Amino acid sequence: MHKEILLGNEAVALGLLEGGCNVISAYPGTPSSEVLPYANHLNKKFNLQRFVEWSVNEKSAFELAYANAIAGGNSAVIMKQVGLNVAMDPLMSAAYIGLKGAMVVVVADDPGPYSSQTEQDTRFAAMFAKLPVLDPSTPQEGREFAKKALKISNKYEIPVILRLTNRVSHGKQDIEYEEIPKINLDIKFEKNPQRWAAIPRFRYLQHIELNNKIKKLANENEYSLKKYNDKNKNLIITSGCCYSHIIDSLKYLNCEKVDVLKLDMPYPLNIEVSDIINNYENILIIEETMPVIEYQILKYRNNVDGRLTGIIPGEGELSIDKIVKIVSEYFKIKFVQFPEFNTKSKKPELCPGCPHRSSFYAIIKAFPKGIYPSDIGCYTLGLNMNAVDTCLCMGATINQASGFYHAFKSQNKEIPPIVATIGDSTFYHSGVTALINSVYNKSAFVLVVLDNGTTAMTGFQPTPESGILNSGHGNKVPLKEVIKGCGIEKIHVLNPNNINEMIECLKECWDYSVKNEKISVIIAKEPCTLLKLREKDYKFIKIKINEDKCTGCRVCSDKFQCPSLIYDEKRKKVFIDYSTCNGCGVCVQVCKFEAIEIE
Amino acid sequence: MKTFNIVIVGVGGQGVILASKIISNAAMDAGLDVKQSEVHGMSQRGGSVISHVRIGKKVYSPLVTEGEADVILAFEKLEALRYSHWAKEDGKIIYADTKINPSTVVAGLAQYPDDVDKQLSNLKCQVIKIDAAKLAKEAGNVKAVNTVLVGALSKMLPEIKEETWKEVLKKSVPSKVLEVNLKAFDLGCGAI
Repeated sequence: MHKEILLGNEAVALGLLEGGCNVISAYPGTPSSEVLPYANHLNKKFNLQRFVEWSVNEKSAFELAYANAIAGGNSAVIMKQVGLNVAMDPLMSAAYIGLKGAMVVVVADDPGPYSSQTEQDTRFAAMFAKLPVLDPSTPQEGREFAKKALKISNKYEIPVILRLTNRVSHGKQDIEYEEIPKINLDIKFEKNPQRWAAIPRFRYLQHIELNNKIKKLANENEYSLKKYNDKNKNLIITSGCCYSHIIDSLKYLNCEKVDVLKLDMPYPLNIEVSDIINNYENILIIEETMPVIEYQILKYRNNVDGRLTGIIPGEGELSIDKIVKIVSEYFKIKFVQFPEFNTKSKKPELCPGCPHRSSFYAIIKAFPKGIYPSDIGCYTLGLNMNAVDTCLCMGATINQASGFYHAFKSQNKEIPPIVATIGDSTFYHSGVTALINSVYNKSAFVLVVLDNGTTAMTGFQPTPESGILNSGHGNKVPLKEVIKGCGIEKIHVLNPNNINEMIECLKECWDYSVKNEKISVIIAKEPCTLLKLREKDYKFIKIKINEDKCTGCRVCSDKFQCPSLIYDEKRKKVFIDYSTCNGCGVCVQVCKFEAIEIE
Repeated sequence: MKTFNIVIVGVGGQGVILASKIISNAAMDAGLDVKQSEVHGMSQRGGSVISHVRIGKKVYSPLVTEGEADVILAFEKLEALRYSHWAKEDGKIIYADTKINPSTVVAGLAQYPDDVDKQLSNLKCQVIKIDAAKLAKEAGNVKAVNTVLVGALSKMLPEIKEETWKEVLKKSVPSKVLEVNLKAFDLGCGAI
């Protein structure tokens, strides 16, 4: 028996392999990114011979895993909550059609949000798709529920959603495990076009079937009731991570007059809950982040409180202090108020030496009055430099650039320079179809693909261009050829750290685009600095400030914004913070007074 | 053992998450129940990073409540001040005498307050400043600041033996920097 502190995501990976998954696919996204790497680690450690894939996007990951489940395999697909939006199309249909083996859809939500565009609740998406959803409260439960989800999926022949939240995904606890057994699944594809390729008439019948499955599932739902006192008339209903917070809050309040009903499966709601709630007078539903249990309870009883009645805030993470305050006020328990503080966190920024900084600096220098649509990744932080104007969702920058172009053009207005930025991984994820659309519809702008050779923000997952797989080497999908294949005629590949070359190239591309009504593309190719630093032969360029030449103009510290260049208010000079400098040497080009020198 | 709440704060890239890992593992190896929570993603790019570690006989939530931390372990001065209200009145703030400028300061929109030490010393709880960078340098590598601080923290947890901490260190850091880290740990212990 082996005991180890595991991240919730790692515990889930363990559960998926213990549950017998033979195909696991994912697209990275915080807070879900660590599930697949750990599954890959265990797969190799125990020589399990399972198939573990980083897909190009969530839709691809889902469809691949689903086919395995149709052929009798056990599948898992992993993504973050907004990734499910991308995979929603196949998910909705898979609910109707069902499967043969088993499939668990692991989706990590981000209440807060800490690293996402929205606070959407995947339990709600489950209800929308009519799929059962399990909501673990701890890493250990994440592991157990992964196995349970596979069992339910197999029994009812439908995908089951395992919903995680950031506090479960990135919570840690000690987990014990033994060697994971090998599996031998009976993979076969039984032809049945009426089911696997159902036309609308059959989809109607499948919908009836799905409704029946959900009804049956509501009868074998699991819940646990933590009773403090048989005479209690107060009840809190909850699911997931909130449960742990609630138990600790009640401990903190020294309160035993409130019972807690925890639903392992918040949808479909177990039918017996209707009886339990009749034993209580005051019921408060605390759930994150949407009223999923609350909507379902209303069928049985309407005098309950929660988000719909305004007791629980409609946005933000439910921290323990919030829960303590809500519970004490609602159930009239005395406690000393927490002091209120207004703390702003330090904002994230591009790392010292990041090649994206050079690209953004060139863009704002080339076109001070341009429009800069951008996208999801580390490079969203270009907004600190005023070089990112929009960030909507994965891949949107290209169609948004096109939209801005047509907006101005349709009204015969002068078209400002439009420079769209997108990361390499994001481009493969959903930029390709957007580029085809924009070329086809005769748009004109400059697209800069920030090609740092990796998916940096989520932990350096490989991109199709690298051809690197979990299992070794796959096939390379070259970026330039893909762009060429989308119909782009003007493509430049350059190193953005040569700032002047990049500025000239940007200007030339925009001239071409306006004149020819065509899109031009610059591939700004330079590896992520954090990866370069890991290389043995990394060349650290030591720079210094020549104080005689430094005029204190602050271009390097304020416009170029390298965190290692710091302006000293008292001395009116810039100095270098060597504790953070990564030695890229690019700042030498930024100082027109030549005050930044290579030592 | 009463539940012991630790909040570790710093700036992305300083090693907050590795320090949390070492603390959790040491607690586990000492036979205690541990829950930990950390934030990944965008904040790891130079933003504020906070990690919660709760140690006790039985721990439910991985989150520490504001005003309930027994110890705040801060890798950076301003971050120590920013999260100081998480400490109990009779809690402790152990902070590194390190300064990293937030982007607002970098962009010239704000100034780094020059009275951080004074503001911290005015707090009700006990405040301990450690010149962690100097000690790390003395141990052999400026980057071992996190291990110096873990060493200092270890003095607050008599339930975990020194050997346990060192065993965990051996498993957590690459062998070529182990000596440096063991020394940094000792220097951290000595700073309390």
